[in-house]
Amino acid sequence: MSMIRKLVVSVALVALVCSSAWAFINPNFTPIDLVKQSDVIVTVEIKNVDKDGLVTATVTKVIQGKFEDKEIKIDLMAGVAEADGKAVIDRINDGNKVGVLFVGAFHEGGDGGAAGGNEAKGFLHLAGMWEILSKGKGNGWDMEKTDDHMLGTWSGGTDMLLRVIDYVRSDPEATVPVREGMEWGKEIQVGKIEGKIYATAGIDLEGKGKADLFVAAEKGDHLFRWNGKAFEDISEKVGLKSKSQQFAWGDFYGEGRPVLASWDGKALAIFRTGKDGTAVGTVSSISGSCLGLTTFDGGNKGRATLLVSTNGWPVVISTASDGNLQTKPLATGEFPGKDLGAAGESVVADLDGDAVPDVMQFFSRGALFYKGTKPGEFAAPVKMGVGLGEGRHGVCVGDWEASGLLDIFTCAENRNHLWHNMGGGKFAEEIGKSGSVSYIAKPGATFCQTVAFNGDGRQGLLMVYGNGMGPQVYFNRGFRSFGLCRSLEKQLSVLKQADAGEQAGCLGDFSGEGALGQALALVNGEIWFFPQKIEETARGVVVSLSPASPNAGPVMVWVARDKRSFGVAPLRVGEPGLLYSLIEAGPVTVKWQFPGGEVQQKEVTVKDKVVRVVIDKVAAKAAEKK
Amino acid sequence: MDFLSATDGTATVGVVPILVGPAQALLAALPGILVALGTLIVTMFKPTTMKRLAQLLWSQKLIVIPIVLVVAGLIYGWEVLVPHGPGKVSALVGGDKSWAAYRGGADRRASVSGQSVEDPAHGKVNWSFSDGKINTFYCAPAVVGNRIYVSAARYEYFSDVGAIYSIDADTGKMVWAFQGDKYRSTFSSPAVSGKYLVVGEGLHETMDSRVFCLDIEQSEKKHQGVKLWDYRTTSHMESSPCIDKDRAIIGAGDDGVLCLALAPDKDGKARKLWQLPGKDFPDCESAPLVVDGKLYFGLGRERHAICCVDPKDGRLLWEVPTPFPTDSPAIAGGKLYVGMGVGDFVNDAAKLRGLKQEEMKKNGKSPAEIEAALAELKTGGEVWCIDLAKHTVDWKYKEIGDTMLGPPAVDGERVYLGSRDGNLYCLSTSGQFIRKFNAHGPIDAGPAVGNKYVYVLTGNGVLYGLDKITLAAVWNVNFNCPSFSSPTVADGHVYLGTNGGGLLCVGEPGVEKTEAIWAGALGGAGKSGAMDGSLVPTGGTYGWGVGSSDEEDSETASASAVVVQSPAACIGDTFYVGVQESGLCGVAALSCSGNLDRKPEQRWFAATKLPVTISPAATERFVFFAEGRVGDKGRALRCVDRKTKANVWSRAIADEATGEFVITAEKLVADRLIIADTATGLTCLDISGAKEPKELWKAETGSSVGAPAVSGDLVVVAAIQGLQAIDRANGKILWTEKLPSPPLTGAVILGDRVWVGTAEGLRGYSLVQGEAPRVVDCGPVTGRIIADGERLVCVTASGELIVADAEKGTIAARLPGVNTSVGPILAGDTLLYAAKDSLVRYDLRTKQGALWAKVTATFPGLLTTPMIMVDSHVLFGTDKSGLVCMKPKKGS
Repeated sequence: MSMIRKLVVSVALVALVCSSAWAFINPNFTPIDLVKQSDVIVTVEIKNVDKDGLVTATVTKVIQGKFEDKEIKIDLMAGVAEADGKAVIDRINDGNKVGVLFVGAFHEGGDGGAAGGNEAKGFLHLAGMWEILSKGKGNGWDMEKTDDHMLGTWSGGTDMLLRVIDYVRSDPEATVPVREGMEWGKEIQVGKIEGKIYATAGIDLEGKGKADLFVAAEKGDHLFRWNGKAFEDISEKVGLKSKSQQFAWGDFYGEGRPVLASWDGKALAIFRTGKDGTAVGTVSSISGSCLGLTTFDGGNKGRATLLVSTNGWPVVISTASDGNLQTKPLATGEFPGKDLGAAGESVVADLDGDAVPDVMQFFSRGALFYKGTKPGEFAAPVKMGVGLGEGRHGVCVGDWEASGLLDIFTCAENRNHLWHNMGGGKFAEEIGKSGSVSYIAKPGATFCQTVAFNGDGRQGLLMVYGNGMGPQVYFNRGFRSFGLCRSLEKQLSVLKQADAGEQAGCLGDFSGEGALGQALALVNGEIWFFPQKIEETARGVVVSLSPASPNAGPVMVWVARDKRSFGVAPLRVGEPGLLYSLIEAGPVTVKWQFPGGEVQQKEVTVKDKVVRVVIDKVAAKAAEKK
Repeated sequence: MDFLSATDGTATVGVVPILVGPAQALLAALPGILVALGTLIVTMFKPTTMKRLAQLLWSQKLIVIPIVLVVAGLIYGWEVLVPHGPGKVSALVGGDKSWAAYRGGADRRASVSGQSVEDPAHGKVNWSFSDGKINTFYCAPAVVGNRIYVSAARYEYFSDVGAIYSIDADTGKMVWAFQGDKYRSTFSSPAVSGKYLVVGEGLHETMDSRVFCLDIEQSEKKHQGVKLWDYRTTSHMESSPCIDKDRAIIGAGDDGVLCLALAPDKDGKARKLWQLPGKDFPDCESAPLVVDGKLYFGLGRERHAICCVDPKDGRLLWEVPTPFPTDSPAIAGGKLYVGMGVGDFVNDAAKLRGLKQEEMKKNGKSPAEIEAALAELKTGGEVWCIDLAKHTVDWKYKEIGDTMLGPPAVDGERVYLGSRDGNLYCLSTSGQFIRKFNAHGPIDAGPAVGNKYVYVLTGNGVLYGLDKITLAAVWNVNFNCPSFSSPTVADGHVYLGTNGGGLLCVGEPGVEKTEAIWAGALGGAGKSGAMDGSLVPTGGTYGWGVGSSDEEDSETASASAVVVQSPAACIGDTFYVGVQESGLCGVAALSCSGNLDRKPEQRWFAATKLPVTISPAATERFVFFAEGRVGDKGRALRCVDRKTKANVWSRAIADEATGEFVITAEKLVADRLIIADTATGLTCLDISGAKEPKELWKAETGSSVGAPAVSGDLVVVAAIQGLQAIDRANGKILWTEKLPSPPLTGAVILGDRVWVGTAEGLRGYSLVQGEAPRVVDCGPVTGRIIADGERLVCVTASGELIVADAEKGTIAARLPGVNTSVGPILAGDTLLYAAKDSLVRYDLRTKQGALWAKVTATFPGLLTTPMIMVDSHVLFGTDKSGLVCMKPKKGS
């Protein structure tokens, strides 16, 4: 990148940070207060802004209250801060035309605050920013200033704010969290591993819905299991002999248990375990570059198919009926990704909402999207702008605004991205309108994970940094506005050795208590686990696939309570299941869809414990009844 | 009796006392007396008379000399042998604390905060203090550690003596007194900070009042008040000072406002830092306050206003004019609250109007002018709230019957103020009326607000302790002695002054200990199942269910394994509830071991032959329950040991009897159980012993509805024949009040009335006089009536929840869509009621309702019993989840 371009990007980044501002979440004035105190809420569309900064906007919808004017005028230069007005003009000229106007005499519950008091004010949300207006003559409004304080009420996109309004108005039990509402319990040392640690992950080896902690390490992988009192290294017991830089677990042989596909930097091997759980060694190997491993159901009679990300075409590996591995590229011909920068991993999931898994192969400056045509088959790739960023990186998918479509989060050494899924295979960068993650998350994270960890079902985000910075967990306020779990950050400081940073980490229910805790592999090789502190009883729903599932996935799973969806998430065999911790007891609807299949559902009631739903068994039972 | 002085044609509308002693009656006879005495003295001192007198005395010297010696000895001995100095006192504790402004601080709560001792709610006078000569205390006591600081007054026609005392709060003994420099009768209340005590001097007619500053440390050492300095004004001074850092500020009547340094100058004299002139700041008798670096005070006649001044130099920053003289303001949360009105300690508005009229007529004013002037002296009071940042009036509350002579007290979101109209008002900090308490006597002082109770003292000498949420009276003490003082709460006692009855320490911490009793269904007649004073949280969520099916699949979940058949009773942390479990009927005892968030364990299960559908009752020793429904054969009233479930006794209940019963208590112990155990009447049992109860009486009331209501010695039951009042001691029917239609609810006693629900609505009959009923025309009532304070709550057959004002007989709120088979809970100013698929919380102050929790047929199931509330946890039976507990939602 040229110096000038770097400068421009830097300035833009600084502007982005400044414009997003230091908006700590304001517990005294939440979107619920904003909606309830508004006499009027309308959406407006900017028609034009003249040279004097006078905006003409059409009132497109009256959401709440009565509003007679069909058009409003806003004098952006009326306030003292002309610079604010000019910044708004710039944002409008950048294409941000749709805003939401709240009118009312607002007041905060606590001390301090935004414009408030007895006088009616207008709060205009436009392009992710808040403009404070006061009533002018007729249908006119005068801009007072851009109010960063209101970002503490809502920091996110206007599109998402509209969804928040709709949610608050339709659900008398609506919540927009202002804090994580949970904390870690006493830390437990899991073990210590020499050499470089590449990754940690939860896996369900026995299909009992419990998570063991898998650690991929240079000098040998480890598997740790909680025995009720402590973590036990069962690597030898299960015959784990791999040294994984990249790995994936799947039932590649249709034996009803997941096995490990591992890339050690030189070769790929699939470690087939014996029936008693011990490994019997490599079955096959494959050479070539491997930038990531993932699995999907390739229509191979329940046996998982492995997708290997490479610098070129991804490679598909499946097992034949005789047990031999068959490999083939995902597509053929001239590889179109050469100008997309450094290749990275791939994600297999239904990314366009048609119930058929797709493949997104990521590069530093873009991606190749292979649309799934039917389960296990993919069309020729299409280039997309969904880039990873430079250097070491992480990718995860999540449905952070509960739209039913998977968004993509990427973290890299130079920056982070949140790619909002607009449907139809289109994505838009929205990290700047995603709350705290836009201005608190730093470049340099090497791993990210989507987790519903804090009891309200909303999908949050974990970021693990490999650059000496501690991990960050973000709770989701709903509709893709994140808040940093500051207290969890502080709690990690009990470990002085964590000051040096971590090599890897993940969230999982490794102690089997029914709530997600944090596993960390520190720079010094120590592995620690922070279980979640449970006050009375852990409640929630775990949705999993049994190892003997007839379909390897990814199965798309939706969980909802009443009208509120927790969003969609993909599920595979071998994963410990999707755990949704829930604070509130009550009925929950679990829906799922196998690739290319029908949507099925089951109602469960969560009372005093975690309810386990093994969806392929439910489906099998239902099929039996038919 | 007053020395009211009218100045320059305007009647004085001061708010401070104008007081005299009792000698005025002698004034008329005074000249004659003086003449007679003078004649006698002159006659006595004639030389011949003197000589004869001396000769007479000498001739009787053997008698006279001993008498003289005895008299002299008595006089001397009284001075020496009878202790007038300090008695045995405790060592000073907590002397580092302060009481730097009138009523303890800006919020004027007059309560020593942060203590673990309960507010006083029972007991009588523990001690009274007087030095034998001075026994009037107008001031509001200042309490610092274990010392009470007061000023005192003895103002008589020939004498004006005051004192400043330090009293040992533990013993009531005097630690030290200051009466030097001819200190005079005083109304001002002391302020204390560090070693400094500052107080004014004088009453309204003291025209050269002084400010005194004493050294508490030296006074404590020397057992005698040690003065640091005094400062003389040219006016009266009924204001009380406030101490701000190194200075004291006090209103100086017509001398304006004074700011004096605490430390004297090098010559030991007072240092005046600044003074606001009286001509610009007249009649400042309110107690000033310094908050966040600004000084606030109110002004009296001629220039009614609240002023804000820089305490460093006295510069006026802003003021808000008021229509009346203002009393001392209270400040909290950036807001200033002040009461005002027409009248003072001696003259009410009517009297002032009379005086004004007389004066203006004398001065030849026209009727129109007189009318205009009188219009400004209307009876009534107002409370204003002023925003200190904006200097604007946020709100005014004008519905107060008479003036206020004491400051408001601000406690959280509530403002308490007493009025001469005899009411203690409670408003929200946003100016909404919450409720009031009629103290049946003028309230001339500010209330004191503790942790749980608010205390108000009437001018005729009655102290009330009221629940600060409901304003229900929990305690009262009648001193039979008037008082202008204000109560102070500290260390589980109330300290207050009286007019002639000394300084008093009253009350003991907490309420009188009684045996815990759950008297019957939902706690007894008129109760709603909320018995422990806890409040309804803003939101609820499922906590646990006992006896629910373990099936998690909603589609296949069966009905509850345990069917809850009666409302629960609760003693301590254990619930007693009628259940049917695995085909067995009985009463289950479920214990939460002190944590209601945890699912309880079943302690025991007492099996019964027939279902228990009427709520059990319980005491600390026993649990009482009735087996069987109307029509069942073999019904019984049973008593089991609360801890072991061992059967204590059992009595038959007639098949057709309702079986409703209630427990009553006397002298702190449950002693009677009154039950409708026959179809024709009630039986009263003595349950005070541990054995088979003795039958005390039977009353043939006819078939009754609901359980009897008991108040003192009166038992009232709603029967087919009508309302019947029965003597609790002997079962004699005292009166019967026919009803226009059969009762639909049990009777409920509220104040001096008994209420019953009928097809026509609620009907309230006087307990004593049988006068015409008060009627609340709400339509047919179903279920139970709840009575609390002045409110009645019931549900009508059409599914409306009615909140009625029992005093006025009017409907205050109607809420549609209410579950008619599950009554609401009333706790303080909040209702919790069952509506379709939800529990709704309704705030009676704001008249706003909000979803409290979803409760659907799916989860946790349909409500099968009324709710009770314990420690803000709501419990009820359901068809799917057994006994369910809804706990407070986090964040609520």
